[in-house]
Amino acid sequence: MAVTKPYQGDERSSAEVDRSFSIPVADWSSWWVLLLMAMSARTEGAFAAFVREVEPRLRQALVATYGPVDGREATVDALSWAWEHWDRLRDVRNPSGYLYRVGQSAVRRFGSRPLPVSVFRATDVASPDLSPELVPALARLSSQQRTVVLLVHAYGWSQADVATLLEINASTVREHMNRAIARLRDELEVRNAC
Amino acid sequence: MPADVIEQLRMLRDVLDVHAAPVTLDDLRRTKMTIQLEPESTNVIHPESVGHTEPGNRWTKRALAVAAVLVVIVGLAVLGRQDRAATTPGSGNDTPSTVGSPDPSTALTADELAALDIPAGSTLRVAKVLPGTGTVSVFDTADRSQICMATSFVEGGSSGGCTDSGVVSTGEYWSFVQHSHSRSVPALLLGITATDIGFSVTVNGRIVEPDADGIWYALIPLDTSEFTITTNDGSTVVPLGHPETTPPVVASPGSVPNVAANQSSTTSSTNPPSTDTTVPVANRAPIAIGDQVMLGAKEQLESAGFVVDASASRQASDVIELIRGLRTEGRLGNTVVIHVGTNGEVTNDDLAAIMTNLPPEEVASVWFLTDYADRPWIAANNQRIMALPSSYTNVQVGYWHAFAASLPGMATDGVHLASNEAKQTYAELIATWTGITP
Repeated sequence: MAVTKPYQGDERSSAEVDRSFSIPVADWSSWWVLLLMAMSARTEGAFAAFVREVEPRLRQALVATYGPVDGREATVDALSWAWEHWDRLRDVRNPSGYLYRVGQSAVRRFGSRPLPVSVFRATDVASPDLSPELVPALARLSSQQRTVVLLVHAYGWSQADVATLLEINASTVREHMNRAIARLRDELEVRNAC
Repeated sequence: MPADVIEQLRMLRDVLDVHAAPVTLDDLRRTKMTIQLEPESTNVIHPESVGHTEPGNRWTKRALAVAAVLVVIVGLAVLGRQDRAATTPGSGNDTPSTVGSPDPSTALTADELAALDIPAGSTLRVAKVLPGTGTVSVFDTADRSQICMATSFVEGGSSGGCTDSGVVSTGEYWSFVQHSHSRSVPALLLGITATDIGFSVTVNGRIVEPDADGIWYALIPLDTSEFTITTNDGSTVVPLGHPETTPPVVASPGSVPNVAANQSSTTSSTNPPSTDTTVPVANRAPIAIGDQVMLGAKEQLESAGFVVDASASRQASDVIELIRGLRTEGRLGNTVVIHVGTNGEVTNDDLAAIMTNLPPEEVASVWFLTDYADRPWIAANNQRIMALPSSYTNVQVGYWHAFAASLPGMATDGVHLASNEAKQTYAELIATWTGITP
């Protein structure tokens, strides 16, 4: 039977309470709090496992695109975003690819640095074992070419894995890679010949 | 002998790993600010959310979310006890919402977006970009001074408009086309920005590479009837309309006058072009002023009917003096083309000084070409150049940097015109943009 008497705050008495409720309000709240705490702990555990699984490849992909400094920073931002939108992310078919694009957005929000300058600065990856022209040549590649060629040849990804992460066709990956290698060879040979 | 490129790339991994250490949960916990990001594939724009960044951190948001749930639970319990009494406080209406990204359900509909009445020249905000479900419609405009764009990436509808500047905002789908009807040279220019890595553009079966800013440009032959945009969800064939059959969707109230079309007829006169001060202004030859890039195509430009003054290492300050002298001598005609900035910064003051001597009542059409070189000042130069039409009604921009990026025959330095093909294309582009016929 419905109770039509309006809410009366602290003045209500037990006699005015709908007897159909068998559990007091305090018990309801306690029960839900416990449930939420349990769910929260479970969520954190799942997120930690998610980070362990996704982080290495996400970082490699963003580093391949934006260089080690901006790429790692974008990885932090993308994973932070993942935590905030964890419920949504669990239903995403390709979470790594999804977060890669979140990372791309993050780089664009980093601020005033113009892209060609922020991408792959030679000072980020200076090494005596590498040709000094390699990193500048990488920086001159298109973003997609650089990403593909580094993921495949530096990080050892399969072309199929790259295609899955970037959500492009395998043939497109192959084309980017071949063009990038040809261009790198061309530029390094020209510079070395000078 | 240096190692092969592939071997060097393998070696590069170790260097990259040192400089980009794994991201741990502790790194994430140290993140102070909430990251307000949306992947572009689900980007939504709400009037109140444009340009707005929520402060706070994720722990605060979690606490708010938990508090909100508790309030709801308590409210429901009380409601139940009162059997949904209408006067119950603390119900869902008082529940604080979880702050953060806008709810997709609140994204603008096409009608709502249209109701915003986005002015010409402004940035079109796209609500709910759904790659693969939208299409791009590119319309030629009879008025070549106008860059017209029309996009229909909005779910369930379309939105579009024309912009009289070439300014592109990062992360938006954007397209424009320039079209000359008078010459059979590649003259269509397509620019699309897309942050979706799965986005690609194919013209006549050839994949077009985006530039470093993620902008796709393509030289599109005039007889091209369509191009293909491929997204994560498949391919969309985009027809290229013609003014005769597909009128522009929206007229731009702020567009500049069609001065190029006007002067095209004047320069097609049978009289030979000249900068002689005794020759009427309308019959004076168009003047092309530039640096070493233009110098490479001097012969081709002269064949096209231009009087060329180009020299290596030229700076913007040199151009100021040169134009001042030409004006003083009364040698300026209806059309002036300026391509400078390869060798150094072109400031707004430089541009203002140049334009002081090229007033619209004296020079109907001034074309500035954007710069292309792997040098730090280029991007800023181009931004300033591309912003000129919003300040000067007689200025139009030729997007050289868009073409140079994919132009065969460029020198290995990526700046100079090496092959005859490149030089010819450079000259023909300028002739096409300006409507000059030899």
